[in-house]
Amino acid sequence: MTITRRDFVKTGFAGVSLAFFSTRLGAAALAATGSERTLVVVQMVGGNDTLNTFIPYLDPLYRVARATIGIPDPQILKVDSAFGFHPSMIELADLYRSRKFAFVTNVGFSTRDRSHFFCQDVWQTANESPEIGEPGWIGRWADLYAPTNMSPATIVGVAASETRGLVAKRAFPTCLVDLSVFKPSPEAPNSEADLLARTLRRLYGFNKSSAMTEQIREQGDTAFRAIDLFQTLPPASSVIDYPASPLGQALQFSARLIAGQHGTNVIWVTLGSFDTHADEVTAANSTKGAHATLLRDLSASLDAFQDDIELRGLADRVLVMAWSEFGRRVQENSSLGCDHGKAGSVMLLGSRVKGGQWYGDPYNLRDLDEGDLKPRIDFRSVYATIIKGWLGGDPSLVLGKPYEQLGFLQEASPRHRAVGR
Amino acid sequence: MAAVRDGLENTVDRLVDYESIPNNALDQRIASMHLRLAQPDPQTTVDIVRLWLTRMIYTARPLEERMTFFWHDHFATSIEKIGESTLMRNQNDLFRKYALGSFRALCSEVARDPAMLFWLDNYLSVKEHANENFGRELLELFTLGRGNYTETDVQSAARSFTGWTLDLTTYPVVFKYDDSIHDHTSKTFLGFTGDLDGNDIIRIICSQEQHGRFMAAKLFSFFAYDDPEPEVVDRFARIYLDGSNDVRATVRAILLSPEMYSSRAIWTKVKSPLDHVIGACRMLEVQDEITTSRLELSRQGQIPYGPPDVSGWPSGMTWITTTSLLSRMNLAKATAADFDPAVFDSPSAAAQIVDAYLRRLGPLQVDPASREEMINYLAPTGSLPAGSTLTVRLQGLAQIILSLPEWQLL
Repeated sequence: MTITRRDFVKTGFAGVSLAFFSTRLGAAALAATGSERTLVVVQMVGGNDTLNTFIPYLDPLYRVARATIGIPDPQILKVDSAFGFHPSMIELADLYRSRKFAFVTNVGFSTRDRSHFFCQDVWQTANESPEIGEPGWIGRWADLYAPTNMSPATIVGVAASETRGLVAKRAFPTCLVDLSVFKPSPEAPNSEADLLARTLRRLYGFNKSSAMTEQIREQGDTAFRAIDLFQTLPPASSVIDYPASPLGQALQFSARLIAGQHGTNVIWVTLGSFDTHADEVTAANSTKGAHATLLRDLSASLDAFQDDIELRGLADRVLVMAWSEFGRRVQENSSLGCDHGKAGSVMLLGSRVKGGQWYGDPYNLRDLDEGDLKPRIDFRSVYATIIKGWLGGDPSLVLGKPYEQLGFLQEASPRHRAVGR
Repeated sequence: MAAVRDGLENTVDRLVDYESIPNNALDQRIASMHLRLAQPDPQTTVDIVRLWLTRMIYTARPLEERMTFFWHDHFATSIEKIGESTLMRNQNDLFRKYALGSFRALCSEVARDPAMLFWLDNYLSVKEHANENFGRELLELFTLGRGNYTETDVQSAARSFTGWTLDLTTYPVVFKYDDSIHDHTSKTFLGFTGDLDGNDIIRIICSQEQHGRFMAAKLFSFFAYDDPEPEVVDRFARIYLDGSNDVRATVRAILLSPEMYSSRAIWTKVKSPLDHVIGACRMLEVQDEITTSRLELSRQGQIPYGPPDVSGWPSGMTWITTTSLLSRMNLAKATAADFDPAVFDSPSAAAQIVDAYLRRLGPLQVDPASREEMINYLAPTGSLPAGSTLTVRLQGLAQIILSLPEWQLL
């Protein structure tokens, strides 16, 4: 069988395994298809308490373990006989009912180590023995499949420093912490400021002989190109109100970036801290407190984002995945909180998600691992499902070996490529 | 060579034995700033940062402030959670007091420090349900490093620190030991069993060989280069442990070591945002860039008293991002605008000026194309401009050099 690149681009050849192609050809082919889909990763930093997020409200052991911080039954947003949503997640419960939201239960990996930093590294590198400087799982995907002429909009992280999950050897992400630094300052032609600005841009165009200075140069050059590109983005929606929180603002910008159609593959945003050792709930009311505030922000921000991209006609091209490095201890502590645990849950949002259902098993509070929920689904199965069904590419190449496909995505529709073009 | 050697020893001695160096100019500058440091006043959270940045830029004892920052990064505590600037400033004074002191004494003070007791929730830890937050980070981040203890050790440490709490009836709050909530039952920690308390935990940790290696590696990486060879770590761990957790002896030995001056240690570390800000202000001898510095430090994610989490700030290439480079260029612009070129020598030809500035602001080596570009910037027509245009160009040259990829390295 001979397939030319032109045929591939023209017909899509959705059924052909990408492993069939060499990496280079695979990258070229994906530039035409995968680039029209965006994955938005929401990192819930600090260890989200899954037991108070998706609540096993009929399990009497929940009440025993969460005598103080448990959510009172009447306030729980029940979606079926196994789970109810935290009362702060009104919008996400609605999105679940309209089949655009799903979650995966008991996700994690087998470990005795409950360190934030170790578990975050494991999740971000998809490796249980992460090494210093090792690329992240998105970075590895991007090194294999992102186009060689990446734009500053291809892989974007909205975080103070580089996000480990995006660390790459070739396909460096664009990091946006403060959009105001990307505002151009238009200089009068031939002014002193103009002369200096042009000199600086040229200086960032000379290749460097050392790897470190060359990487710095590339990042600066990307920054200059980002300044130019961001000027061309469509404006923020005038009808969607986003929360004023950093997450809300990051997602509002994400919608503009996606609408600009510059081939954005991945956007990574963060929310936290979910490290609720203390004051997860208030003493007076267990539906209020730090956790409720975070889930409120998450729910309202994601809802605004989903509305925004639906209004822009882009909903079929966007998938959101929210994760946290671990769940928390089943037994509450004495500080109105709970300590580090093991398995947690992953959330999925999007028009192409087979939503309105959860994936995995109910929590088993009778069979714990050192007081924690046992990991029953490897977190890399979530990644493998997203790589195969959304980003495009061979999950085994990115993750090192095959993992179970969890089936939370609808089969690719032939229409998705036509949207917006 | 002996003279060079003596010269190095004298230089290091002056850096390390800084107590005898007067800091009057700094003290006068601080006094003239009229900082608002008394609570309650929302300005205090800004002014404690201004105070510390001023110390870093204008101190005559640079190692004292570098080590104070080292401990802030090591025992990373954020005002985001603490809220009280007085507690943060008291903790900062503690780090300065023990900057090169005994780690064991510092660690014992930190375990009683109100900001830390709040930060890692230990003030809430009671014998019925020990809160593991402090116990875990003490072992993982502060003293031993991951993989050198068990989860049981974490729980034993947490139980040992129960009762180390706060007297919330005073203002500001102070440390209090409450025996009624302390777990007196037997615990096993790193092989030692008994009715251990927090002092026992710190004593046991401080004699561990692994603790010596952990601290030696961290101190060495701070000054010389990342991922030191195991034999290098062992050498400084010996000095540290033989001196009963003596930080001064360890730092002195690192600063005198051949590794410190090897090729691995030069132009291999990425300047942190603070290195960038403080370096720019000190090198250009500008008077007051604290406002811009604060803005750009927060954009780059390294505002003092605001570490991202208990593991402190990241290091290395993670500091280099699209946003951070634009922020660094902004800072270079603001700093250079206040720079007086008369502070530097100005030769009469563009090429010599570029070379002189590269030497003064580094010494920095750049590729010939970049050097040529800077010469063209100074003298686009081949001859230097005169008067105020020359001043603007010289400020611009300083701004450009501080913005170069090469200047982002140490």
